[in-house]
Amino acid sequence: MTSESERAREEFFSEAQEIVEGLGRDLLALDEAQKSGHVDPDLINDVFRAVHTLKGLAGLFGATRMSSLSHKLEELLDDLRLGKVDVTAPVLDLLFASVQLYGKLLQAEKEGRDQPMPELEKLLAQLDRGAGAGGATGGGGPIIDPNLLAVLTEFEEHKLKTNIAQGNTLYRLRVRFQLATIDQGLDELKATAKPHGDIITYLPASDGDDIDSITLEILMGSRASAATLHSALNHLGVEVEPLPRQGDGPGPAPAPPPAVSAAQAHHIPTPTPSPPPVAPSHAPSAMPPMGHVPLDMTAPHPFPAPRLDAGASIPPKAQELGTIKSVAQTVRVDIQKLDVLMNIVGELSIVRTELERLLEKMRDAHTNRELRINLHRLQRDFERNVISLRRGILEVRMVPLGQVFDKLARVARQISREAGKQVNLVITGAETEVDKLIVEELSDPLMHMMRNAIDHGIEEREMREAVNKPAVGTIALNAFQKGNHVVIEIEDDGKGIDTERLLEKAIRMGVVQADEARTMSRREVLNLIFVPGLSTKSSVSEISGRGVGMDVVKTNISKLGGVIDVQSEPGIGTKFTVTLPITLAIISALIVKVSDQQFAIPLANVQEAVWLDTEAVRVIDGREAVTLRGSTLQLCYLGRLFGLADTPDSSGTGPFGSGFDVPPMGHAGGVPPRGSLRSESIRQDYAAAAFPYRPAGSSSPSARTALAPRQKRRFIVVTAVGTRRLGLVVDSLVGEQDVVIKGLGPSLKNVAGFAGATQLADQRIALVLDAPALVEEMFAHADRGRMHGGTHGF
Amino acid sequence: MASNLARRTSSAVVPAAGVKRKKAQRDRGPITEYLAFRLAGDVYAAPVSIIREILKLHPLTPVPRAPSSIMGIISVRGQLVTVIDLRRRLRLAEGPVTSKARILLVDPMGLELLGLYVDEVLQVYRLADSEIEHTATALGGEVASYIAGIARPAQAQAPAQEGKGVALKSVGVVRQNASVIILLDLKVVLSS
Repeated sequence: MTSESERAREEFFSEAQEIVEGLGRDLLALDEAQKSGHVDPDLINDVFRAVHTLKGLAGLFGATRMSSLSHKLEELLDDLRLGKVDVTAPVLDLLFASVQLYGKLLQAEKEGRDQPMPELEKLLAQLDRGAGAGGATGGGGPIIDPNLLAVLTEFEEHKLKTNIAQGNTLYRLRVRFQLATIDQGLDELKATAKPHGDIITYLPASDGDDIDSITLEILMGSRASAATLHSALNHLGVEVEPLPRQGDGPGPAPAPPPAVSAAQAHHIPTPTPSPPPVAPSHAPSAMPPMGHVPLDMTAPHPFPAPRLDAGASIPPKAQELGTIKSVAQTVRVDIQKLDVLMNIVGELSIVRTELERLLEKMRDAHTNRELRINLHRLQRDFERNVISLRRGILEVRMVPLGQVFDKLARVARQISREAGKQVNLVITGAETEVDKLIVEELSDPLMHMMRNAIDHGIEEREMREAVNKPAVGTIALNAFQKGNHVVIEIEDDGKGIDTERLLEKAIRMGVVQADEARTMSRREVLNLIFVPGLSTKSSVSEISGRGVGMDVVKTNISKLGGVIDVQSEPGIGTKFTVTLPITLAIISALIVKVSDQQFAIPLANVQEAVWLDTEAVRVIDGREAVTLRGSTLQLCYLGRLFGLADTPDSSGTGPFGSGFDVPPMGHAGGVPPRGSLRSESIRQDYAAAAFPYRPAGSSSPSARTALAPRQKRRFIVVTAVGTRRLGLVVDSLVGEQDVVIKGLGPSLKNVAGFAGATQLADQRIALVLDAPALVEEMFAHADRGRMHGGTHGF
Repeated sequence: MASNLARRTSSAVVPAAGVKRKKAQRDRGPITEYLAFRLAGDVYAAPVSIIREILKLHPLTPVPRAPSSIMGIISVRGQLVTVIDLRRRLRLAEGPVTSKARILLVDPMGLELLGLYVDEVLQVYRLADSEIEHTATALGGEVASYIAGIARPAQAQAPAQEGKGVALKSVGVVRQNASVIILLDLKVVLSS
């Protein structure tokens, strides 16, 4: 295999993907800017550069379709940059469509597909037209001295022309900065000057008398009068001088260097040809990152040659080199490789425990004390390193949620345009970090919720205005960390969920009985939104379709070990809250024992563990419950649920353990098969549950009777999922352990209640309970049992 | 690679056997290796090519609520493997588990590595296509679809390990193995 070129291709894909994502972000910003009416030329420039880099990459890897798209895009962007074409919504649509197409092209390229792509042809044609279409803003009249134009980059020239076309006055600002503080100084100046106008270019001037400071000449276009500018900038020590529009300087100067003559032509005083620049290439460029001004620069060269091709024009070499460098510092890793590493860490942990055990043995065997101590020390080192190794790998897996939020923002824009609604998306907490795998799996559910929010949540403009809401709808996308969890909220200020219609529909569909409906709380009704097939909007939209979504969203989120909750107020809005674990790779778990079999319960779901006082168990509407800290806690006897013997009984776990459909041996009437577990049987069973260890009529051997008092001390592990709590009754608590969850194979995918399995320190395998699914099941079970009067099983 | 192993002709395995074997092989058609195992007293076999490994009975972790034919899960070098009780899958009688019990690691569909419980592993048979009776012709249409065929190796050949020498047609030597071997189509067995 040509692994070398394979890897290079991989690299190409991930880099291209990254650039395309960045492109999407920039476009969103551009879209914002366009709406607000002030387009930042720098942004267009960023977009241009991204496309240019893509073009180069695509060319390098022979992705011809990508490079032809990039080429056409580049032309359009260049026109945008130079003001030949205005940034308008249709143009932006074209650009957004390109971003989408890039994604498809990349996918096709990756899979080696080469079939024709009609949308590409269409877009290319549109781009051809688009490039010619827009009206030019800049008057472009040759009012400016050609000599000045020669110094300015094309981009600066465009800014200059725009200012002139808008009838702004040109000013020359002169300001002196201490070299040490030039960064802050310049930022301050930029911020102060921005409201008043547009900074066209910075030109360093030299006084030649002070090696610690630098004087900058700034060319600025502004509507404001000289006096206004002066008072605004005076405190920074800026001299303001308006420039006449026509070049009235001493005429064309000798050519070399043209820059100097141009400056003369415009009263920008030519600095005395002072000591040559120490590092000319570091001299400020057109849009200068001033931090690059070398501090040892005695006197800046007035118009350093590189300036001419720097900045806004075609990305210079330096920038490309910059990219290469950044690539070299980050490594893209296939997440599966990290999984492999994580597995190895798991194995190491097992080795560690084994070592510990051996050490124990050595102590008992009175081996050489010194040897033992040394070994012990080694073992501790080993342990520490394993722990930091694990932490390190976990850290690598974490990525900011921003990755998925950016995608969402793009989708939001698209949908809101399609739906003809104006939506303002407010994102907070994009920097919150989550396991890469979770981020990947999150994008579809979140996307769907976003669509729902815009399509079903936010009202039509007229409707909003009628109820005195701002015409532009707001969707807030918030993320924050909460303990071991990450919370993501999607909140809209729309009309809220119409619970009456939801309920009506639920009744029509037979999900809820009519008499049942009357007693349902608002919260219960709202939760119906997660029932398959329920949607409140009767018309099917192209975007969110019918309510096939929310149940899928819920399923997907619970697969990630998360929960989703909904809150909604009519006329005020709807809020979906998704709570997710931070990582899937490794979790802290409580190891419990049920009938001699060990299970792991993710600690994230565990609130507390308490003794089970059998006397306190009451049956409420067919469900067993206890009162814990003032509120009712439904109980779930794991042994019964799993069809394990209720008592630690060796015969219950032979080589086959116990399929649930095989009643455990030795229990005449104690445990009903799960299939028949319904509220009726719970009630009957309660007789047994009250004296759970010796069902009446059981011919238990006396040995078990003897065991009974000890077994009475069982535990309730209180699990909390969202706002729901469930008490899992277990035989004993073994302890806490960090475990690596491994998925159960496809052959067990239909077995509900387990999130996977893990190898414990003692090499045994324990099943990891899927607490959200269990809670779900117990509550659904109870609900349904109640709704159908307990006559149906499930 | 695995299929090569299974399909390799006897000449490739025992070149020394020479002309005679080649001739025999020509007469009988291509030869496939089958691993025979015992389930509830009967002899079954599956192509060697799909069997990755034979394990002794690990301590199993039962999975509550799983179908009854799933015995539980084991860890094979860190990988979780679901173990299926072939006796239950095929609805056979269940005798006590002895120390002869083994777990065959297979991945017939290329989807998941599975463990198959068998009562005892017997031996490898080389069977030519001509020695395999296809069930539809032998037993009519009412046979379970997981039975790929029936073979009577004792009448046709000696077991593989004895087949190296001249005893090729000595029927008497292997009379005690003269039972019928039921060839399983594991894909069907495991997908049901």
